[in-house]
Amino acid sequence: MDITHLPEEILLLIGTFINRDDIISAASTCHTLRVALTSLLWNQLVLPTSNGTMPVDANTLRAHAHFIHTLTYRTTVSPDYSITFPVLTDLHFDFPTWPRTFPGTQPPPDRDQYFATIIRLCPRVQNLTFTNAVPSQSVQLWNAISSTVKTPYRLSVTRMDPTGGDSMQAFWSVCTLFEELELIGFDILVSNELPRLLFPRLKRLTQELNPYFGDSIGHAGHLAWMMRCPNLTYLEWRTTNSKFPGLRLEKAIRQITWPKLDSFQLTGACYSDERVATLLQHLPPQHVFRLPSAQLSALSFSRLQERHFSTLRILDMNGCVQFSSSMALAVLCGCPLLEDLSAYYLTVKDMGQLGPARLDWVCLGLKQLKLYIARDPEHPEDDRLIIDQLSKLKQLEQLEFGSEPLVDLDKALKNDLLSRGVLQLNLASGLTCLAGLKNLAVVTFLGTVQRFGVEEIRWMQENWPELQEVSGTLSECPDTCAILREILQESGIGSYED
Amino acid sequence: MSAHSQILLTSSEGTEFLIDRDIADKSMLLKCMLEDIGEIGQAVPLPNVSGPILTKVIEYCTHHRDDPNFLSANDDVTADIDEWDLEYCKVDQGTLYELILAANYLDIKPLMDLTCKTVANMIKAKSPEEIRKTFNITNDFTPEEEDQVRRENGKDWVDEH
Repeated sequence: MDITHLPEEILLLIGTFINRDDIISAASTCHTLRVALTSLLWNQLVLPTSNGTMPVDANTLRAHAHFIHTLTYRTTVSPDYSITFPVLTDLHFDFPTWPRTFPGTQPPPDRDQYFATIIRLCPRVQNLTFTNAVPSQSVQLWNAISSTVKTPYRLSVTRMDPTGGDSMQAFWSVCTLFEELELIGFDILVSNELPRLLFPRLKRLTQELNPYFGDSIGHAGHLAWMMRCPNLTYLEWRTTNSKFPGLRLEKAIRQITWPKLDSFQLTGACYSDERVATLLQHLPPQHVFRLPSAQLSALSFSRLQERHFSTLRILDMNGCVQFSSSMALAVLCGCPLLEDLSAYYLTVKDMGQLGPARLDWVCLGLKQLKLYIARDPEHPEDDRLIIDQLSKLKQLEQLEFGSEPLVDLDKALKNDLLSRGVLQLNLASGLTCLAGLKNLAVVTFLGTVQRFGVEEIRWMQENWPELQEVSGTLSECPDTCAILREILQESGIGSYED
Repeated sequence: MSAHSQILLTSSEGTEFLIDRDIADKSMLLKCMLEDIGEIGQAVPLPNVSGPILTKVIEYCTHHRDDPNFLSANDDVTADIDEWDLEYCKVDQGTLYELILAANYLDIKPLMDLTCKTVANMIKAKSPEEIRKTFNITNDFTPEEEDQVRRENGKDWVDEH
């Protein structure tokens, strides 16, 4: 008996365990496998190919349309290809370049009609993306979405032209349908065009809107409409900081406008330590928190500790230059659910000064750790304190402790940290203790020097089965470094210099 | 019904296997059959499963007899296969396919996923020619047809979202 004698449904199940490239290779071996894997082969389609040709003729497409779940249009295509896609859930208009339209100019008049026609051919669509696919000022497209999409889930619009009036209201009524919205790089909102609707379905919102013309409602207007989204759980707001309505956002949070919010990421706004502390005082317990603020300091940190440590999963303290080593340690010792920590640095000395009772890192599910770890030159043996804690992080996938985060720091502090040297991971300092980190895939030391030899690299290859990348200066001696890099690359592990 | 009751199975050649009820319950086919008709007191014939394969299936179910996550163990497509399971699947291809068919017939999903994953791992990161060699597949494509899949469904035009 050989593989081609297995029933088709079993061959199909096998196909679900391999990636798309492998499916294509397997289907290229013989008729039996090709037929069995048809539904996986045609699961997704991009029209046209990157060189502009159509990969299939219209008849072939028609014959396979009922397999397609994800369809991406990279430009407008011939009406011959206007076929119904009965099971399609993800429709992307992902145009590679932004058409030459400017505020006040019209995109091609038939563009909206084109989009609307295609959307009507996809009755099961849930997720819609428009990237550089600039709809014009007509109401038609938005009405087509409202009337066609029965189970709306996610709408993403990147770079839409300014618009107004009826079209704007039609756009807002489409937005009320979705649970997730991503609005990037546009500012379509003109004054007096604020939605009069509520958005109770909306749970996740990512927005990065650039007010680029005079009568835009600006950030304050955006905040006003966000306050009509009472069920937000996830908010990612990337601003450019011009006239950011910091006080009004603070007030909205104090008034508990979003009682279910558990992910808060705000970049580009400037908040004092007291203001961040107020936000942290009134935000519901957070799973994800990111707020780059040069002012964030002891007061905010104490609020973070009191109110959010028990729920935090992802903490990104990049941009918070006053976030100290002892704060980073307190996070590692105090956030049991933490999966991802990005901060500036911690010092072995601070670790050594913690009492034994507070020494234990409790975040045993940590997957990513990114910070510079400075040694204590007077107590080199204390490196072991950190290595012992690292050895418990069995879920760790990514470990970055290069000097790259330090660039933002005060020069004197940065130089002091660098002069102490970075934690060494060689066999002499206890590398073998990390043999249990079986998921470790990426280890980088960019901007710093490790003193590895062939033994260390061999040890990593033997003990870390998922290893994909070891980057940074691996040895003080450039020749050794080149040899080590070669050994890594021979076994398919990436290795990059600074 | 006692948890320690036993069930008699007959393989395709007529060999009889006496197994504990909780082992038989790993098979949804047997579990449903036994729930429907209760204790039957006579052997359950399994005409699609040979003795050696049935032995192998029972070995799997016995090893995982107290596994609390038995039914969800292999749900994660990317999860690694554990060491015992890996060793268990080190059999010739013919046996592996018969195991798949037996797992399918007896409706033992974790064994089905394990054996299919094992075949999938033999396909991964290979060229069509290497796959043919691994599985001893005869190429019944014309050169034109062979190229067609890559052209129509090829990776050069599919975005990896």
